Amino acid sequence: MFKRFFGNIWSAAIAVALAALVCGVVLALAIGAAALLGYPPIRLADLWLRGAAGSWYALSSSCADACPLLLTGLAAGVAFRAGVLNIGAQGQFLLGALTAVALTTRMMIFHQPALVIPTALLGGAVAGGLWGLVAQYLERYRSVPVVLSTILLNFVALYLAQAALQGPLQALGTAAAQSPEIAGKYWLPLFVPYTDFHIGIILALVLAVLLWVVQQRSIFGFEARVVGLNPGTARAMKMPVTARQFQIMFISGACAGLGGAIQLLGQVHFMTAHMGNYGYAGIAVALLGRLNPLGIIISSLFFGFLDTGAYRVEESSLALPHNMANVIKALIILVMLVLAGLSLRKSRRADRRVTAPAQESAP
Amino acid sequence: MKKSSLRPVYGPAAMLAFCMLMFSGAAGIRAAAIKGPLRIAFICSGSVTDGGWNQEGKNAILMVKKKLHAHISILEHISPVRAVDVMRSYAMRGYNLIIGHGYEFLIPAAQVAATAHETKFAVSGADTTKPGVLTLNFDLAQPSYQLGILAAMLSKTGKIGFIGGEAIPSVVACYRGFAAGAKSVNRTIKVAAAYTSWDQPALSKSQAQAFIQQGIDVIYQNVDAASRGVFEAVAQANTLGHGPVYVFGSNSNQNNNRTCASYTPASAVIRLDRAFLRVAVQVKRGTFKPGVAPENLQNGVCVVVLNPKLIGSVITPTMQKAVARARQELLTGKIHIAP
Repeated sequence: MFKRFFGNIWSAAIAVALAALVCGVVLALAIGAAALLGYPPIRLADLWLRGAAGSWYALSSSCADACPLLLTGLAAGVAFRAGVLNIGAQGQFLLGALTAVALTTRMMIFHQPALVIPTALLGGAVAGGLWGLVAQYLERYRSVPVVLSTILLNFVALYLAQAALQGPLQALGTAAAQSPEIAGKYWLPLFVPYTDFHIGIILALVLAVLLWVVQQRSIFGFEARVVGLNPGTARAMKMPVTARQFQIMFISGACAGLGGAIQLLGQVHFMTAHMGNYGYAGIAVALLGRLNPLGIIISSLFFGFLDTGAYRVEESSLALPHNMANVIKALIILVMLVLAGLSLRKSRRADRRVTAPAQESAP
Repeated sequence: MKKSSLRPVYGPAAMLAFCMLMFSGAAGIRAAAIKGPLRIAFICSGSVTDGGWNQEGKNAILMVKKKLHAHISILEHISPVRAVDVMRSYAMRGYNLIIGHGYEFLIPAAQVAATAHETKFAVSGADTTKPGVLTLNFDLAQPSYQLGILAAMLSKTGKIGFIGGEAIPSVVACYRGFAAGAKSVNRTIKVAAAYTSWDQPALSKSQAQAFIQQGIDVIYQNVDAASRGVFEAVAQANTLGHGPVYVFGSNSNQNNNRTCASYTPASAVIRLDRAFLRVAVQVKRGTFKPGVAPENLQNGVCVVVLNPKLIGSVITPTMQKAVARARQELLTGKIHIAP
């Protein structure tokens, strides 16, 4: 049992180490490229690091930015691991935020923060999960591929949010498509005062660890992985493939929806339809974390630190465009894909070597 | 069973993620005058090369820098989600004035203003205010009214159209002014409206082409970076002999756009430089006060700029007089545009 447990930890550690190595190499290359463009590399790296983690506030800002990425990354990671190609985290994130804003500005239960905050978080998660189930239903009963339906449902969610923010959820006194500001008593409490360290960050971390445990140590997690690797085998082993796919899609959507709710109650405190591309970025985060929840924690933190540091560099006299951070992220994903491709080719060659002698020796 | 390698089925998802990443912004207290150079931060949600709202904002803030010898920091592509963090960071580093260029920055500005009493906050393009924030409420409805008069006089088909980036208050006000101005000349004129996108020229182009196919021969666009699409559609229509089809610019002076300057008779321009300079001077002198500042025809911030190259040929003296008369009547309050 201990061997199996530490084996799982070991595979997670390898994922984390590989991701860290790739990130480090690409960052070094990026700083080298910036130096070639005329930016002082040491000052650039110094500004970037100080901007991302040079003070308690900077550190909290990076972590708060990583929080929604962690949750949308988990949404993508959990689904991809089970072979459910959920590209709809963006829409699920928006619906989660929309539900949370409705529950904190229009339907406050007894006006008690102890009731309103958990209800809003739960409501956001459920809304995201149900939105994900729509795509899964379309695939199962109407043969619409999940990839297609989730992408299209992102746009439906966006326009639904816009309609709600120009209708029942619109702030009073303005014609702009935005919600009213959430009352301060319904904001997520801070665990370090005067920073952005809100309890949503802890909640997201706990959820990631919980998902890792479920994925690695439970029958449900095992079945979900088998369904992802080979649904035919899973059926042959009498596993409930359809049920698992629906359940995984709900969990995936719930993670993204919770991300939207936490972002709203912990960080932004009002809603417009432009809530950032956390859903799409989550896919990159999940891939960088090798679809492992513990790896996703590290990759989301890396993305959060990269983004926050990049803003500080752009604000400084160096004025290096923030898009540099996006270029770095994209390069990292490319390198990870190349590495994954190489590893896949290597494993196929090994498979061929194993199967070829077996076929020769057969009568 | 292999556990860690990514399966080939993730390829499309990964490439999608890659593409998305690549292409993917103290009320009432009189403060002391500021000695030394003013430190101003300007943040906007789009690109400062959009040829419209954001680019005009950047140009305006650079003009303030030149006139006041101020220290300027510009951040583009800031979403409302990042705005609080960015504004707080500027405030902590001692910036005197932070300008959020768009209504979406109003609530973030108010959140930061509640604790950063040394920094002043201005938000352009909103129609309401919050404690500690000065809102610059641009009224383009008045210049749009003048453009409506010009459009009705230019149109031979009796059909004109408006394309907006998004149905937000300031853009809908443009449509209302445009329609009211056109109907003041021709009661039976048909005014179509469509809202496409701020940054998708292909979308605005197909909308403009649809308008032209319906017989619309004057288009007023307020779509910022997507305006290129409208200009292309108008240029093509005129080349193919569907014309003459005219287009009006907005926010910045788009009369000399590279695509179809000879078919752009006028633009409704927001003189952001005037508004920003006034606010910066108030901060410098210590006379800054939060609230709503109406920016309109009356204080010369929102005006119509006619294309001088087309005066006399496309814009007849009669049209010029009608536009000037409407300006006078708007200034004196004789004409009131219903909200």
